[in-house]
Amino acid sequence: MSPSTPVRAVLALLLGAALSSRAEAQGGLLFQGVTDLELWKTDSASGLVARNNGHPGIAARADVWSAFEPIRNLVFFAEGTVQAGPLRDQRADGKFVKQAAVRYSPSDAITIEAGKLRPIVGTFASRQLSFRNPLVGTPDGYATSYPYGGRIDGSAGIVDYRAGVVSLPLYRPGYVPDPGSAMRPAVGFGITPVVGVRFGMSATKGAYLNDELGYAMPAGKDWRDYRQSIVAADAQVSWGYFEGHAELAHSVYDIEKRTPIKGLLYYLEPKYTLTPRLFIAGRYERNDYPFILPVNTNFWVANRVVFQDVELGAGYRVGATTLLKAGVRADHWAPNDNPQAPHANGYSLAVQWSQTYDFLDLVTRKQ
Amino acid sequence: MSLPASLHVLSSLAPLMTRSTVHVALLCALSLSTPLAMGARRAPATGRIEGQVLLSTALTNRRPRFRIYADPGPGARPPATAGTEMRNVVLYVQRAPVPDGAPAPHGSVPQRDEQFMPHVLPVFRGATVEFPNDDDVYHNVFSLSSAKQFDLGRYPKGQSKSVLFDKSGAVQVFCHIHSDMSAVVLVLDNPFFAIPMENGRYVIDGVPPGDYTVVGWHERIKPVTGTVHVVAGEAAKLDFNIPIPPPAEDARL
Repeated sequence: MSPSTPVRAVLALLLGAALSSRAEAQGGLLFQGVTDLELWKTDSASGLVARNNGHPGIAARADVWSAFEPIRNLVFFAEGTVQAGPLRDQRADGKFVKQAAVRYSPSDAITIEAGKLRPIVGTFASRQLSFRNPLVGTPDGYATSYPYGGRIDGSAGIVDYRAGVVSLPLYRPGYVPDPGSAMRPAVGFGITPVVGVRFGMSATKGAYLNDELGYAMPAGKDWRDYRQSIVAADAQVSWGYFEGHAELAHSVYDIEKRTPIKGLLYYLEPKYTLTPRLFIAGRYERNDYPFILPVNTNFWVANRVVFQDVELGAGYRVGATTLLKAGVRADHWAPNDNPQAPHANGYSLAVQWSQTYDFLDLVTRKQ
Repeated sequence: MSLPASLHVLSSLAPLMTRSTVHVALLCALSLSTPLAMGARRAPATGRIEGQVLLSTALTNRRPRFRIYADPGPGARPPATAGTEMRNVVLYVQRAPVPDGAPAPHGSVPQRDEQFMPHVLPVFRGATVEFPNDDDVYHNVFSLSSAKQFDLGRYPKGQSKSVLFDKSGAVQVFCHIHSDMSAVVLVLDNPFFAIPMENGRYVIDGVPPGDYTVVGWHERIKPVTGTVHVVAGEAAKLDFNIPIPPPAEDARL
């Protein structure tokens, strides 16, 4: 079964449920979204922040999701993105399904999901939409390719957990080959000792290559024999008008005829709200990425690419559903021997206008 | 003896309040009602407006409480609850005289099960409204409405912060952390208002005699109005069909 088959099945169920709800004028249906318009001016050389060859650019993105609850606690949901312009996460056709799944939540202690899901490892996915992300940019370590699979999560008292089996590793395009689909376990847990403070850990292990790399596999070995292992930690602190997030991930990759190569990435992200409308935020990120390219059975390129970047920004809430953000970001790359890896420093200036929607409210408002 | 409208509202909200909050609110409402009640002992100097509210299905569709992304940890999943839109309707009298010496009233909008309860709170201008956090997670109550802008910051369970609403208008209240949480504090120019009961019945008591326009308000409709003539010691009937506006000449449906 191809990965798109379950997505189509979930979408068909969702559509059918939505149509039936319309017929009955009843049922729990939700249809929301966020639209971003971004203006950019960057340098032309940096591998991280450069857009549009350094020319000023405009980008637009619409993230739309729908949920249908045919019976209490059972929700079918899907989220899709359409984008245009010189965005960093630019897919070939500019539109893709992020999530499409069914969620069953009988209690706080247990929530079960199956389908195309947000990642289990790491926590930035919960804040990646522009209305939650305090800055225009996102951490470069945030994986935007969501896997298929199933997960269970929940919380009891001060402890929360999540566990599942998913089809993709966490990866950044351009540093390792695009991964093939291979199920892997992933787990995470957290503890909230006092309200406003949470510490968490998560881990996953599984294949990170793909089946088109057979030419580089030694006899008797399969691409699934080479594993990526990730152990991540995260922390969240909030009090009054301050909010802080931090994440760290340590990765290990199996390499043919070499000791495994290791990577490390982390970021710190403070945010402070000055007035009901105005907030400031920053993010410092350091990434130590393995760059892996299987060339043939005897030689794999395996280097580490190190860089840091800082983003500072401010946000202004124009209204309850409208947010204006501006930020400046700069990166600094450590010298390396790999001519294929980018290593030029750069900067970017960005302004982002975000608008959230509740489409059903728009329909019913002020009738 | 009839109860003033503000006491009706506070009594109806009692199940949503803590015991101490109810005591404070009822004391304030009783003190507010004193001049009217004393007058009523001598002679029925005021009348009341009562009627029935009917909602269309457009306002009663249930929405799932669903977050496409939620922070991991306690409070990640909002509990599924079914509310009733009838309790989000407010009937209020326009341009009614304000009783002399009316003390500043109080109200309360707790955050419980990751909802503001009640979702709609009508208050008399000058009211101080408490926003206690009854959940095991942080909340950050704020508003950007022109009638009142505030940001109470993040505070945990057991703490409360208050806001003085000194300008009339609809104040939309949100939580920075949980984008699906919202409430409306409807700040009114006089204490003559009511929230209908579950069955749609409403009573606005203690209204001075005269001709008035009564407004049926819901956050997702244009206000529906009707006119009524209040006679001392009598009940004036006025029904509302929401959101279908009644004909201007025939507000008494």
